[in-house]
Amino acid sequence: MPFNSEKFIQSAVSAIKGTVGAERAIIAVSGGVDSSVAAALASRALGKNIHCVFVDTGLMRKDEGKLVKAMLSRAGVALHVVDASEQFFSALKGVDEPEKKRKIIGEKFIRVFEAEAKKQKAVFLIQGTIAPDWIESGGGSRDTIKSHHNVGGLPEKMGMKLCEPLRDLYKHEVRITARALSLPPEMSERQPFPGPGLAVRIVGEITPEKAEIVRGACHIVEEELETAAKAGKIELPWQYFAALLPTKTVGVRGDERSYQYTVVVRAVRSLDGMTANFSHIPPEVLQKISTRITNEIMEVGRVLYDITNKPPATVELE
Amino acid sequence: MAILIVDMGSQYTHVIWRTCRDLGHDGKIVPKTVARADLDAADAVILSGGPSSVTKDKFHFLPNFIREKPNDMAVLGICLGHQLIAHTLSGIVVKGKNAEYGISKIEVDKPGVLLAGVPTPFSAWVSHFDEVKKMPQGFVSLAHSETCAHEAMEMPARKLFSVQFHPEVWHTENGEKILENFLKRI
Repeated sequence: MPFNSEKFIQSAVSAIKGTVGAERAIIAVSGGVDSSVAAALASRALGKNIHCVFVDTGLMRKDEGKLVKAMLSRAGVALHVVDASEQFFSALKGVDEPEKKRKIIGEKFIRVFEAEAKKQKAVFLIQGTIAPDWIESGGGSRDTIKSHHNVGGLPEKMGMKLCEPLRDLYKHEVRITARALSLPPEMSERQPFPGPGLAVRIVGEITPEKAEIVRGACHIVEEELETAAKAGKIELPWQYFAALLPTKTVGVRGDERSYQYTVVVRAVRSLDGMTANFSHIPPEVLQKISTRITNEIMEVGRVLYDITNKPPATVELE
Repeated sequence: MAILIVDMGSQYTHVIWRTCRDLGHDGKIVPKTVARADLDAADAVILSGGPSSVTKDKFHFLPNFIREKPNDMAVLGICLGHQLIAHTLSGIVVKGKNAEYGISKIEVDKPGVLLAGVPTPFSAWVSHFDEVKKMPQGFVSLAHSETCAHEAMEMPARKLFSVQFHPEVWHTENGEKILENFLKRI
């Protein structure tokens, strides 16, 4: 039978009750659809005995914290925002290897949650881990494609027990569940955003300056593609963003030589994130994006469009 | 009906489980070290893809199971599973001249059981370098792509079916239809 959200909600709620019992639980909320659904299920199962935490890593989208807090409060979930951006930036300083970046981020998240759990006297950590997260994190005969922060990036020792009600679900099934739980459409239909945030959209070493560049570029890509979709020029891609390459290239601005960063625009079509093809965006839409990025973000001198499918590429660059 | 899905390390093993469920069949994912008794007790077996090579890796009880299984038990091999069936039954699996990753155009040569009702050509998603160069005796080749001669093969009398591409992923056109054709044979 195709995925049945009513049946799933029932079994997930009773599984959370069975696992967590009368203990208190921290819920890791990122503002994406996965963790929002996990929070809604946990709130059904455990009532007031939950504490939702949003960690601001400094590697979030533009105005993310404010937006997520407002969205969740409309869904009746109280959110506690922890600003850990300085901790994340200092732990990532000088690190350019993608797997190392992901592991550092996974560990930092857990340390922040542990501190919150201690304050709250919580025993469990509830996360919105979905199937592709543990599949791509590898283990056994499966190769590690990337260590997802909530699975392969977890430290060996952690002072909390895990509860992952969405482990067998894929993104499209999470969205069906979100709609069945009456979460607002801006949450149930929100495009995926990686757990490590903009860290995996900055190829190589992360600095606050680069985070600012890629944040601005992502915002422009989102605005332009959402506008084009509303005007009926394109089908809104499954995921769409910008990534920053460490490579600088030569340009000319106002008759002067420039030597600046390169930004990659990526937009893909998918159902479950397991396979993807690049979106066929019309040239005039791409032109608008490239003009805006190079005019509004002075550090960027060149914009590329990624025309690789998954496989052989992945959706994100790291 | 219980279908054993043998996980040989594919990114898509769990997607096979999901697609079987969507088609109304309960699957159970087991590691490739699964006991022979469990394989023999299954209603059908699906061998997943995986990162290893049939000539280099160990497959425990799987080769003997493929050789000795009763004729009325349906087995489907996908990607590495396809190659394992070919290799075990004395076909030839080699590293292809060209790799295939991502989209591939599949031309149906003979629909047979597995590709019945599937239009030609269709787009399928592939992710492999090794390929079946020579099929085992008794098998019929059903389809090819530009770089790969045997994208699908079958021996219906022994209920052995296999595909080089991935029918379980969303991007493969007619993928559900192909899995349904297999599941009907259980």
